Amino acid sequence: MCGHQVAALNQAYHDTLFRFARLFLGNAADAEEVVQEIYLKLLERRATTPEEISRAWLYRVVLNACMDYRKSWWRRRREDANVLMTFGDGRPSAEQVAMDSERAQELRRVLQSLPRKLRAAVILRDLEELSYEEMAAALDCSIGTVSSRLNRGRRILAKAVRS
Amino acid sequence: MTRLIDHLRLRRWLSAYLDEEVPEGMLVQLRSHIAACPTCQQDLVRIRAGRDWVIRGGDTAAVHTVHPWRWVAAAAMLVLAVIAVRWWQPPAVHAMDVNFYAAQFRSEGYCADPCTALDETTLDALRESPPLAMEYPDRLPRAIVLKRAIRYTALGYQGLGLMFGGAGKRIWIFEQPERLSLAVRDLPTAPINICGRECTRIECSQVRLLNWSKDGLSFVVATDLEQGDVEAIVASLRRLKS
Repeated sequence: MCGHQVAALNQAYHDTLFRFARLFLGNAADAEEVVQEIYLKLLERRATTPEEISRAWLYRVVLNACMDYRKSWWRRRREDANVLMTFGDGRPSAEQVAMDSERAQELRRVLQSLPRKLRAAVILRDLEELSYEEMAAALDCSIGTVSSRLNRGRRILAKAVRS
Repeated sequence: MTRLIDHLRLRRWLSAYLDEEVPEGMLVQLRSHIAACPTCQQDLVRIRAGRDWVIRGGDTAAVHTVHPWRWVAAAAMLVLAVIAVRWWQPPAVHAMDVNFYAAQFRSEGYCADPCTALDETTLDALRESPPLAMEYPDRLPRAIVLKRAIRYTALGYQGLGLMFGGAGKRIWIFEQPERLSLAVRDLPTAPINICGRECTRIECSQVRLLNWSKDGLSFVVATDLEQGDVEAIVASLRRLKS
């Protein structure tokens, strides 16, 4: 991907990528770093891009980036956080402001208690509103597995909320 | 064993069922399994609670399972639903007693014109039947349900029979839109108003097919119910569309 294409991607999907990463990772700073890493990968052609960008592909990219980020969390904490590239004007979107409410903080906190695969399924379906088919493509699994992961995730959430 | 395997196989699709994402070929089977499986029903409630909490952005008040009073409300609703079902059960077709009805009509000389056909049917079918277009009660007294509905064809006329019952008691109410000549043999009678018409109640201790006719309309009320129950049932019947 060339710089123009990445900039266009940022323009169109930055909020979506950031929102998912923030929900998945639980905080804005990590989410921003993950999204920047995605742009960098695309610029350096370390990630393959399809001819036509779909939602499923985007979520798959951001989910993989989040997983990678978690794996290297301790290493990254020892390094200085260098912002490699900056896109946008830096102002929070209306959605981001809304997500800062007390309820949203509680939601993010409880979501963090879920195992990663279940958390990804719940976020993609109940917050990002992907179809099961899109989820199966994003998570690289069957539709039955999507349903199964949602079952487990939602049960845990219901129990957590009750307690 | 098969049921257990089905349960394990279908259980994973509960979220998909909730989200209306179940593959078409599986929907009917899953739906019938859930209807018959209390475990899956409970699981579905839990899964829905988890989903709704996320969809509502972490609004705890929106999760039904959080507050104990919601359980109380749900239990009360369940009790009311059970009462309602017991109070009014949809009519069912019972084919086994057709011959019994026919024999009753032909027995003991009550019916001068033997019936030529006798069919059990449903209340909905009766409502849509033009020759017998009548209004039927939407509700019946407590513990009284419509047990059977039959229509019969005699020489030159058609008739309709409804059997109500409940709480170990039975009552028959037969309505005939056309005249049917019958005899009442040595049984005490009493005046009664049925659907705005002055009729005669035939008192008897056993369930029998008896009737009485006036102004071209015949009614049969043979009952072993308490007087009040009979009156309540009769009062709940709407006027005939003559």
